[in-house]
Amino acid sequence: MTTSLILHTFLALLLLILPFGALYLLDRQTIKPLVIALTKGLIQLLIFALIAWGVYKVDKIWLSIGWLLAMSVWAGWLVTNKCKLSITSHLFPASTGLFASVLLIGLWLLVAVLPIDNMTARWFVPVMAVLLGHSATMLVKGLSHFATMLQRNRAQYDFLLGNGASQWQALAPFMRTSLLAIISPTIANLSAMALVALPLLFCGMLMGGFAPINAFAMMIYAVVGCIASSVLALGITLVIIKTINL
Amino acid sequence: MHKQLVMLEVKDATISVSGKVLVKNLSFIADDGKITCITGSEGSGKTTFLRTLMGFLPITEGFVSVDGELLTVQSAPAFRKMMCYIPQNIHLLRHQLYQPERMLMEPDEYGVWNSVLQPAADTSETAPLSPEEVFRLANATIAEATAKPILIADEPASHLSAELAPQMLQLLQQQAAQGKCVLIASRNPQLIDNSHHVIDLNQFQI
Repeated sequence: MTTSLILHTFLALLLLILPFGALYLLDRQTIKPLVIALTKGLIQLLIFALIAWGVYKVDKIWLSIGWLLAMSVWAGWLVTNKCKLSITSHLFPASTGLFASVLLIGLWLLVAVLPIDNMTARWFVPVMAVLLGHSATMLVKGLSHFATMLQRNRAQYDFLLGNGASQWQALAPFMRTSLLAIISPTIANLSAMALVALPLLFCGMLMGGFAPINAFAMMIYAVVGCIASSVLALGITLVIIKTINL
Repeated sequence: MHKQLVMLEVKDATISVSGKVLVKNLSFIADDGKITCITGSEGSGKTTFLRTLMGFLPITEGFVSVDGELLTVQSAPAFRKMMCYIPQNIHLLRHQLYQPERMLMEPDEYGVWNSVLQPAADTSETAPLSPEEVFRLANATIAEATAKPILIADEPASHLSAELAPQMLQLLQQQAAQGKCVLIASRNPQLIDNSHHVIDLNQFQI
């Protein structure tokens, strides 16, 4: 970190005078939680930045994939927890679904779509991180809908099986529900995108030096990649759950 | 007229759940063209027995066979293609009659958000079907299964009104008249009185 960067960080932190000043005048009890939250956030960001720095520095594909694997397992654990499902039977499907889908869609973006010569960690890490973040968020919605609907409507599953349906056919209504659970927010989000505020990714690319037209193209790639990755992650996760648990 | 004839045989069947024996040494043959009614007090194992006949649960001792071929949990999927099943909790099968309501989503920040993962949203409970809807679904399920030689109905009159129960009996009698093997579990006196063969599970308990 250069002296200049430290100075700039200090100047940015000066902006906190405003929220802390307001809290000091109106609600002093909230100052402490805000300080703790800010500290936690900064430490988390710093850890993530250090890991990314290490991956960038070594810049080997095996390390990048190892980083993605570790992040996928972590994301799978979070997804399983948020869905309130058993870790022993759902961590492996969720993590594998996330890892496989993000890797496949990410490689497609990196190799075929993005105009880059070499697949370096500088591209690998942000592309995979964007896909993983979105896929994990959507997997919470899809997986929880699948599990809840199957639990509540077990009668429908048995009814379909009892009338001669295969296990896949009996699971189809629940898979449809979980697919809609991840497609519906995507439709809602895409419809509202850029109407009120610019998406953060778009702003980030503009700040990173992208021309608006390039940022637009990258945004389209990211959005399409996110949708494909979330659907694939859900599909792989459900297939594994069906194979080992049902 | 239904032509495909099958023989559903239960021989010395013992059924237990979690170590508790519900039915002991039960034997019978469910004839084609007849209504066979399994009856017994509440908790006597009627539903469990029907689920065993369908291969959802394993049989502890004895065997169930269809046309001389052994029905087990493993072989059951092939046999279930010959069966039409009306479950006891048919009133909960709203999604068999109506498509689930579409989810209305409010847009949230899209793309690279730095937020934590949101917890899973709650889904609403499914409303039960009315007696008329239950009858409509049972009727439609049976109508779709014209080629299936076995009809299994678990408490087919339990969610019907007093007016619709006789119509259900008539529907079951029509199926038997077509040559189907009709197997029901019921405590409804009207259904028991009009069955050709009644098996009281209370007589097969320890």
